[in-house]
Amino acid sequence: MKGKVFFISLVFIFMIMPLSVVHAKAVKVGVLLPYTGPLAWVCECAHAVDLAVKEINEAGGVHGDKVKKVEADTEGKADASVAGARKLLDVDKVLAIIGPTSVTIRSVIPLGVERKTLIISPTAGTTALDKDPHGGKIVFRTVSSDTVMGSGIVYHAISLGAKKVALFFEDSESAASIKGVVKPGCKAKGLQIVGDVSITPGAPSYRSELLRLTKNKPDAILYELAPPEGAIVFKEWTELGLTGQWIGTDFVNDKFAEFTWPASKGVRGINPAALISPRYKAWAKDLQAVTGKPGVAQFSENAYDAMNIIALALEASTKVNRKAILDNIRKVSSPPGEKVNNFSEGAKLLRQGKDIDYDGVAGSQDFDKYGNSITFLRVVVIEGGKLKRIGTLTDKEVGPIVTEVLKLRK
Amino acid sequence: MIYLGFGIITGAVLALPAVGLSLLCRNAKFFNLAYGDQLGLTAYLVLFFNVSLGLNFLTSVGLSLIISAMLGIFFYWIIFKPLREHGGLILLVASLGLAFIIHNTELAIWGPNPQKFNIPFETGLRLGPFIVTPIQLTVIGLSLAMTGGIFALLRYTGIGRAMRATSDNIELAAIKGVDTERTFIWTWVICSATAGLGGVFLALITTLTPWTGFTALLLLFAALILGGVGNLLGALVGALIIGMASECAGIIPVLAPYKIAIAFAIMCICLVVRPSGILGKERGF
Repeated sequence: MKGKVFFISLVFIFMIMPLSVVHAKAVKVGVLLPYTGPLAWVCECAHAVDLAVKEINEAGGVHGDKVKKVEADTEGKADASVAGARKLLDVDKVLAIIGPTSVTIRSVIPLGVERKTLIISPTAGTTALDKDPHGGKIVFRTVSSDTVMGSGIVYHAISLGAKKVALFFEDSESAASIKGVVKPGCKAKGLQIVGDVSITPGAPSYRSELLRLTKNKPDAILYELAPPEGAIVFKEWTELGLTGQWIGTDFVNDKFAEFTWPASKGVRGINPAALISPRYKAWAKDLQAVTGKPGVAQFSENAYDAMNIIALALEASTKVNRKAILDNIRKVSSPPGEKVNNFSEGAKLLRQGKDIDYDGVAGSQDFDKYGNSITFLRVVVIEGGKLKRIGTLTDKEVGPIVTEVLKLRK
Repeated sequence: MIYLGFGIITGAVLALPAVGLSLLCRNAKFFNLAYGDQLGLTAYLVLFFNVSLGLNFLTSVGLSLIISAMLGIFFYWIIFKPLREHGGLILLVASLGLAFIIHNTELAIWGPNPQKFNIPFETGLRLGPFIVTPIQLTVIGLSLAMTGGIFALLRYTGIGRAMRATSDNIELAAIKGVDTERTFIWTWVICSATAGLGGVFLALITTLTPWTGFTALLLLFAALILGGVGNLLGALVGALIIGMASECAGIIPVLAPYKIAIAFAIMCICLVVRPSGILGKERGF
């Protein structure tokens, strides 16, 4: 009899064990960013995902399961991005992907559609996604479209008193996206474009292009350059003794400032960023505890929000799978619902059966029909080889230009 | 005229490594695809000594060139010498593998971002119609002097004559008592040091990233084919033409985004019209 009881208990334990193993399995979320290659500076924002994961796990995890971040490298190239996404989706079996950048996101979208998995990018501002057919269904963004950033650049040029501007953009998808906003933005606001120079990345020199750029004496130069080209351009700019106000994009970041200094002294940039508030300051302190470094890397706020939204979407469902995230992403991030600022607050309310509306560090993260959100912008200037924040642009300031750009682009 | 000056700067920076690569192609009988990355590696070694260890810039360059020359011998012994008998194609593929190893080593150690040496930042001087910085003037002078030095070495020294004899006919040179093995080693030493110095010049004039060498290699090959493969004077002329053509392309709005492609278009036209290159006597090595 004792043997039988022992045998039945053993069978029961073996029956239960797989269930408990499944239950204890981590909820995997993929982070697909350029960890190597010329855009590797972007991957610094992944530390904010670590912070969100830490907070989620400290709050008990998603339905009691720990969340785990799994990384894959895009190298900033389409083929590597697809390979990375395949690895995340098919080998690691992640439930959602955070990333990639504008440069490669469109190569990864078909995989997300095929596997019915959320792709939520904290960095891809490309205007190519503004009305993407999969936007708002499979693809979401926690960063503003380049339409907002480009309009911010035009706004800042006007606020500096510029009447004539010149454009200096690389021949790349990311730069073309911004240029596609800046040009109509200038037209809408009556800014005369007196120079329009496209450059090829990888050339040994851009001196001729710089002379052509300044031929008609622009008041400001609106531009986007990756760090290697930026290092050459600003060096040659200073060597040639040229003067003028440069206003750039989110490529004007800490690394850019470090590697182009001192030639880039006074160069300005318009970056996606959060409003400075006590909440933001406390969050930045928590992030710095994770990174062990001062400052907040570009797109960190957006990456943090993306991770929280995924976790809350899972928490809002009774199931932990890819579909649950897609079904609940809008429910947890957009009104109506009680405002929450982090996973812990949101999960508590969800468990009480209440509706929530996640307001992120980067912005409200209320997604439009195409999965786009509006986040704030900051104005930075390069001083002493570092970025210095000198202002903030809100939707009130930039919004009218965005509207006019959208009208012109139609 | 000012654009001509820009072209001379770019051409002069390319000239020295182009001559070194031409010499290597002529003697080793293959296109060394790792040459560009060897060029970048030396610049990174200078960065290590100059920025990481805080050594004087000239001392850093000297030490790096010695290491670059030693690495040249090492690569020859370990990779290219054992594969020499298998022909140019195998050597070419092996050099591609070496290029990847060097490139990824640079990426792993120094990362993808641009780097700069610990030297003062300069503004340009106006010399007539030209704008040029003291560093650029030094680089132009040194590049042309070193190129002249290589010509003199080949013409007036014993090792130079041995190198020419070996490149013309290795068996005949051996029968005549030329130590061909020693000649090969010297070829790799000279070409690696030349590549190294070219890399330092390139990093001084432009910037230093793990892609600097590879991008330069494309332009160097264009210069080589344009001037005539294996013809040292041709490499010099080719480099100057490529430099000037790419700078002049920057003036024309339609051509500016295709600056690098212009170099290859010129190379392709040359291959069709004159396959041996401008100064080459016959096709190939």
